Amino acid sequence: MRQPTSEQAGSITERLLANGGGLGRLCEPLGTRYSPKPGDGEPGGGSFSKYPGWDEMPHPWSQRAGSGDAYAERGASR
Amino acid sequence: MADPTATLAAVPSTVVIQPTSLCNIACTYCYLPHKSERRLLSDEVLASVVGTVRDWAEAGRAVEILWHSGEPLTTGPARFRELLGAPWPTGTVHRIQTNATLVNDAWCDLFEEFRPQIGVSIDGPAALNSHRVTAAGQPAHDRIEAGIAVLRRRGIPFDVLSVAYVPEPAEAATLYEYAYEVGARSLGVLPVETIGVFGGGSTAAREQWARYFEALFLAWRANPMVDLRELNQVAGYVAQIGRGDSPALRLEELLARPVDPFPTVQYDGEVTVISPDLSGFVHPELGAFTVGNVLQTPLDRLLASAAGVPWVRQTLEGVSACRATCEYAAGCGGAWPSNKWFENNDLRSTTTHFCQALHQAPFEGAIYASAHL
Repeated sequence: MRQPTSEQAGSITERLLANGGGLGRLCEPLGTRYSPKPGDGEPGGGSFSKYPGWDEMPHPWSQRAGSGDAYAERGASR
Repeated sequence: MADPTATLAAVPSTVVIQPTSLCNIACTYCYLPHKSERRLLSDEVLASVVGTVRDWAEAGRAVEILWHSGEPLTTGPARFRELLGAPWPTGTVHRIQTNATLVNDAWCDLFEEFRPQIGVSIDGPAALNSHRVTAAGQPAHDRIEAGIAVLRRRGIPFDVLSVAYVPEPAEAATLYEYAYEVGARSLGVLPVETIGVFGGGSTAAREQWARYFEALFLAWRANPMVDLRELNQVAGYVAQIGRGDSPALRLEELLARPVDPFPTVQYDGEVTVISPDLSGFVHPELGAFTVGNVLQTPLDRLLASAAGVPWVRQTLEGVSACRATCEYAAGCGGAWPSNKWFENNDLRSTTTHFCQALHQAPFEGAIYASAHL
């Protein structure tokens, strides 16, 4: 079995991080659930420090929207 | 470097339970076997699973329950009251994935009482929802929308899960607008997949699906009212990479994560791990895609020994192969054996059409979409 190289393992990750500012703008409406650090938008910069509620990657069989009790939250936004 | 040997986690995030094998409609792309037969989950199977989930809870591990695989609401509200009313640990999150055709006030009374998260399967407006049909081949769209109308009238929050048949960007925008108009809390999109008894999954290139997700994400950005599961996946991944001392080290940590066993308990107590869609199918050499039955062995013990089951061992080899060779593996985890089996006939294989469409394309689509902003 081939072992991973940093290039193989990192290329999509590197492209995402290199595009941190753009992703920050894309995801800005996620608000408190997704907050870019200061410095995003600079070439090659940007990281994302806060995304409470996603301690693990969402599983495609899981579909968790928002956080907390959906029944209690209903009507809060629209 | 990541440990090349993938392992199974001892405790899952979620247990999928099949309350019945029956489905009351006949979507053209359905993967399920036995969906025309009404086989019901027994009290003995239920009690065994509840017991294990209680043990996990006492050890501080909360596990969600997803009622799925077949149409759960065909069990009827009286039986479902017994299922949800079993002695689950306090605070257990229940989720029900339904086609909504049977939703009425009696069901909503039950939802109000137990507060499960409701996921509705619908592919968009009628023109996009034509593959969801009755057993007689008639469109099920109006019946699904009637169920959604009851949910809305009663104020029951719900998510939408949609199958996308073709990677047409205009359809992505249409789907998002529809999810908003019907009042969905979130939208998840599944490119149609070759799986189970259905062989007609998408073979479109990753680039085409990336453009689909680009359009979907931009539609959300213009009116960010419905959470997008696939964008959350990308954002969550970037957030994960941002934690820790360096992206490279964090990447290695993510690649070394144990695989979520994500067990599916069939109506008869048989347990499949990792891919719910393997339930009920048989590997010609390695036997049925099961790790045992909860009527003989508690679920936690089945999971503890699952990695030694030959088909699971091959599956973990396949996960390791993905993690060793694919740049997207840290984001998707590599654990999608049903697609590997039904597309490639090889659990140890890596790339599938589906993984390119669902697990790779959203990352590329997010990069494309962000270039517009």
